[in-house]
Amino acid sequence: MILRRRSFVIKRMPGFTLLALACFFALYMPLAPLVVYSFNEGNNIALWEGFSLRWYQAAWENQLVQSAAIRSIVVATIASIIATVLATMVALATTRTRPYRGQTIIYAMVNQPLVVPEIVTAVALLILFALIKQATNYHGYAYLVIAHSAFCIPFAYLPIRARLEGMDRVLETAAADLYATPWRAFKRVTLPLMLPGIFAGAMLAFVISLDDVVITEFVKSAGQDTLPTYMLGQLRRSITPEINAISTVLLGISVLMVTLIFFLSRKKTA
Amino acid sequence: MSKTLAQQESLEAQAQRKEVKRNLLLSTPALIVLICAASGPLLIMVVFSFLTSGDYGGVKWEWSTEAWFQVAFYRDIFDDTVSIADAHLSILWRSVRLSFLTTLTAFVLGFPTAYFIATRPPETRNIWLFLVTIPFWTNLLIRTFAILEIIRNQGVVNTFLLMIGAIDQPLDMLYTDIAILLGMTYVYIPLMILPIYASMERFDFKLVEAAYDLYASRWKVMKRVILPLVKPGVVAGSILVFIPSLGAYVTPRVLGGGKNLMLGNLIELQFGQGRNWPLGAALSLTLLAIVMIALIVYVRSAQKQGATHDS
Amino acid sequence: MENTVAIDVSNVSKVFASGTAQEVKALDDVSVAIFKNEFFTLLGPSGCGKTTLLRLIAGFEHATSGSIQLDGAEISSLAPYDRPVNTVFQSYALFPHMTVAENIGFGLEMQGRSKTEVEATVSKMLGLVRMETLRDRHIDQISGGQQQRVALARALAPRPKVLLLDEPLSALDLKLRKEMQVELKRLQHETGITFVFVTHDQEEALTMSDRVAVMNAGKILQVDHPHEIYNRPNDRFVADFIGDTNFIRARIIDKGSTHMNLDIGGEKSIQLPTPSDLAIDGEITLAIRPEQARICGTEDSPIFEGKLAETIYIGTDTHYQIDIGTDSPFVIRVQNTSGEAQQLTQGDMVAIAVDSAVIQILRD
Repeated sequence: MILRRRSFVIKRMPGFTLLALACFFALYMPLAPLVVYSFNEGNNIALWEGFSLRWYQAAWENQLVQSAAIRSIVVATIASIIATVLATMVALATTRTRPYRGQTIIYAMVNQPLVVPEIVTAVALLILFALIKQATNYHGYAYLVIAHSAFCIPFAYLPIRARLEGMDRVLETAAADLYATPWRAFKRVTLPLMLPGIFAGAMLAFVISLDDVVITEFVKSAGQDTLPTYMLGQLRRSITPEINAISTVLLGISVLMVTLIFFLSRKKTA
Repeated sequence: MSKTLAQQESLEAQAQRKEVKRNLLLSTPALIVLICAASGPLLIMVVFSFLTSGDYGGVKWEWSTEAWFQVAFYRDIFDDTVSIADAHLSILWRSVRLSFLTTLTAFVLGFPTAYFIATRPPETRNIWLFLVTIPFWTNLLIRTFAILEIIRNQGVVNTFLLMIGAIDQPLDMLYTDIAILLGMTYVYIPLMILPIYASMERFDFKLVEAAYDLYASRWKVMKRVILPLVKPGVVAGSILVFIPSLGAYVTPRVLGGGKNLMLGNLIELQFGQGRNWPLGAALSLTLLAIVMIALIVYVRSAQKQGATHDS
Repeated sequence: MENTVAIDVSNVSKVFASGTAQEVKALDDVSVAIFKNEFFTLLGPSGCGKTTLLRLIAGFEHATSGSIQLDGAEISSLAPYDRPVNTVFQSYALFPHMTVAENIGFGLEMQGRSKTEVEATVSKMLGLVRMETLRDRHIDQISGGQQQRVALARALAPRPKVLLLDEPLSALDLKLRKEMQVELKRLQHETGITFVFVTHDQEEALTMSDRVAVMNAGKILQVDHPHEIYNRPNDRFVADFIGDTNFIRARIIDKGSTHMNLDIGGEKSIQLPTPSDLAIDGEITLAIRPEQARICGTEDSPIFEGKLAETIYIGTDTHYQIDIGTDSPFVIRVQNTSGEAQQLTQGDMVAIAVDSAVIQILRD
């Protein structure tokens, strides 16, 4: 008789691997039909009628989609630039410094958008901006830009702060020892070393702004749809594969950005 | 001598003062934006929750606690009789129940997944981690839409079940609580996996060897050694799933189909059809209060954890 | 060596977290003069204040009180970048985003020197630390020992008046450390720059320094040449921290002009010559190095007698622990020259002889 013995693996837990693989399957499986039907020839999102790019073309030629896409990118670009600059400054003021009065308040305020449910912030902004709109009769894009900038700050702040905290303060001390004034030490040593964190923060802020639905939905004035709010509106009506095509493009952008951030943050820290 | 002494003491204090001034100066621009579009609006909302609702939306500037009263009670418009606001409370209850179930489901699936990633060899670990990160950064609306597509009557799941003959009528999954639960779990599960993984990554598997050496079974190793040591990650993950679930707006709107409301949708109604802004503000603050309580419980437990680890 | 003072530290105190529960007095009224062109070492256990003193000289911290002068001019209010003093950091603190040459040239560039001058000095420095072939490498592409040399070259390049070295060798393995000790000594000779070196390694301090300051608990206990520090410690801490020492508590029974009798707790009192400068009466401590005592026959005028408690063989030497009636055993170190162990067994009575000239009498 052959005795079959299975060697004892220390880290193995029964069923865990199966559950984990099921989880990974569940994470990606729902995305497959979404992508596949975006290439469907027919105007149905259930019945496959052959490969075609007609819905991409339809989305591309749709005036509403075009303007929403441009609006999304413009708002995300401006908001992420503002958020990144401000977050970089706050990160410099809250890391590697002696504790000072007000530091906790600054920290709490920066992180507020992460803690307060989006719907609450959205409603609060709706109220405030309604008051301002009534008083000034201004209905422009500034509302969207400032709202997006605010909730992007903590997302830009996190990687920059992490990068700064991982940076040895002694490097700036060394620069000062070697006759660099504080400003030159910042320009030549601190800033170049924190750049990967700043890039990662800017990209996160961009993705977060681009993806936002709730706050935009409540803050936007008439005719200020971004791509996500346009899609949310479409989901109420009969759905065509055009939505799949837009989703697939957005999905692709997200994957691209995350991959970039992933490789950027894997670059060796100082 | 005494002169230099005084002079130098002020040098030290001067350097410190300069640093604090620099820090506050650097923080000011961000704080202005955050006050304008994050903390300031919250304060305005507190004021609004104490005003009287306007006839056609908006508010009348008359002080009133009516909105807060309406959160839990219903006043009949004709005879002014007061009863419990069943509609609001059942929505509140559904929100809490679904959020709790979402957290539980996410834990049951997410814990083994985090464990699986943490026990991969270092070369492949990052790839698995990356696979969790991608859906996390994908638009929430798209992911909800993906779930909508697969559970629709003509969706992949029903088509598959019909094909293999498991059912002869499509299952009505869309626009139910189950659909919302499924959607929220799908959308928020990376928030459970990532913090659990983070604390598991620091976990020293030599402890598991030691436990086995001391006659522990697999189950005992999990219960007595691994779980207690990764508990901070589990608690953090649970909070990160529970809070956005409680305030969820998009997922119940798309998958609940306007019937199965959650707190987020109820709040929105007050600014749309309901036209009761003060009530909407009061409901928002109620939601915020529940979230804050959950957060305080979390911080307390984290502090307790820290204290026991220090001693 | 002519003794012109380079750095004059007088009455410097440094208190951290002043006024709080965590208040720490890192330096307590410290005064010391460091001469031009000398290799001066601050030696002490961790937390003794030696690094704080170094950081005060560099300008990274401000003294709570006292003054620091460089070549006769007060520098305590100058920022680090205004002081002609450079530091070699314990962790090297090399800029990871710059090449070897860019690191070395950084200080010169910040001083606003011309490009050609920077180039020339960098080349000279690379030669000085024998790193010519690695000039365009990035910092993470060179070894720890090489990083150490770059850190040295970078700090020497602007030709500072004083070079401060904060435990620069502690991260190196033993062999490399020995090499760098020689290298540092050579660099100091070749450049003629004053070196102030901080270490907790007594051997390192004794081998490299012209003078050593032994520090403990924020105070400088003794400043002297290495052999004086070793042979004539003026303090129990100094004797204990540097090398191994037998300490014997003793009470003066009677003190004559030439000899005195001491009670060390054993059966018999011992007799020693009275030192001319003995100012203390009653309780004193005797310090005797293990290698300066020997086991002898009774005819050899022994000072103590005791029972052999333990013999420990450690290759080059053998240590004998002898119970002479004091709290801890008296240790004698004997070099194993003959290759045969001395024929002593545990429990034997042995006599101990010590040249009275090497016995240190310490204040407590």
